[in-house]
Amino acid sequence: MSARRIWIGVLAIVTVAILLASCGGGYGGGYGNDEQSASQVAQTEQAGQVEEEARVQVVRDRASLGDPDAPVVIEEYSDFL
Amino acid sequence: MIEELVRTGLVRFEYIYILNHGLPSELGALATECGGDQGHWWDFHDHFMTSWDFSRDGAVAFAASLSLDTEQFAQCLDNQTHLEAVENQHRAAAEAGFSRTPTVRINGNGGAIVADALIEQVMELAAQLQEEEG
Repeated sequence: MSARRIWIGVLAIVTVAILLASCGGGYGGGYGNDEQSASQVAQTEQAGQVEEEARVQVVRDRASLGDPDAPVVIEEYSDFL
Repeated sequence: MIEELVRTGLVRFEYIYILNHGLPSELGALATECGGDQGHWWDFHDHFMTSWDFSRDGAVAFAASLSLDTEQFAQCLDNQTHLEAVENQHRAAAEAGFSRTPTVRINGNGGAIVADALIEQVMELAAQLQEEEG
C-alpha cells in the first residue's frame, strides 16, 4: 500500500469521523434545542394557566362576578324562576 | 354573556335573592348559599337556572355530584343556616320596589333582561363613562 493511499485512507476516516461528530453534535444540539424550546413553551403555558386561574379567582366570588371597582354594576334580582 | 362582559373588566355582576315563589324560591336560595359555603355558589346558581329542580333531595344529589360534603350541605339546608340573610335581601329588594323577577339594574337604573339589549345598554353606559372621564 502506497503512502498516498494510506494518507487518503486516513483522510477519509478523519473526514467521516468529523462528519459523524458534527452530526452527532448537531443532533444532540438539536435535541437540546428542542428540549429547551419545549420547556419554554411549557413554562409559558404554565404561566398563562396560573394567570388565568388567578384572574378567574378574582372574578368569581360568591353571588358576584367581576372587579369590585368595575365602572358598570349589573344587579340581577331573581329567584332562578 | 354576563361573564363575557365581566371579562372586559368593565362590568361587575351581583345577584340578589327575591323569594317570589314561596318554598321553591327559598330552597333554591338556601341551597345555593350552602353550596357557596363549600365554594360552589355558581354551580348551584347555574344548576337551578337550568334544572328548576327545587327539591331538597335534588339539591343534595347535586351537591354529591360536585363531591361536596353532603352531610354538611344537608345540615346547612335543613337548619336554614342562611335564611335570615336571604330574607333580608328579599325584604330590602321588596322595599326598594323590586317585586318582579328577574329585575335587572345597571348602576342603579332599570336594565334590560334580554341579552342583546342589556349588552347594548352596558356598552352605551361604558362609552358615556369614558366620555365623562375623558
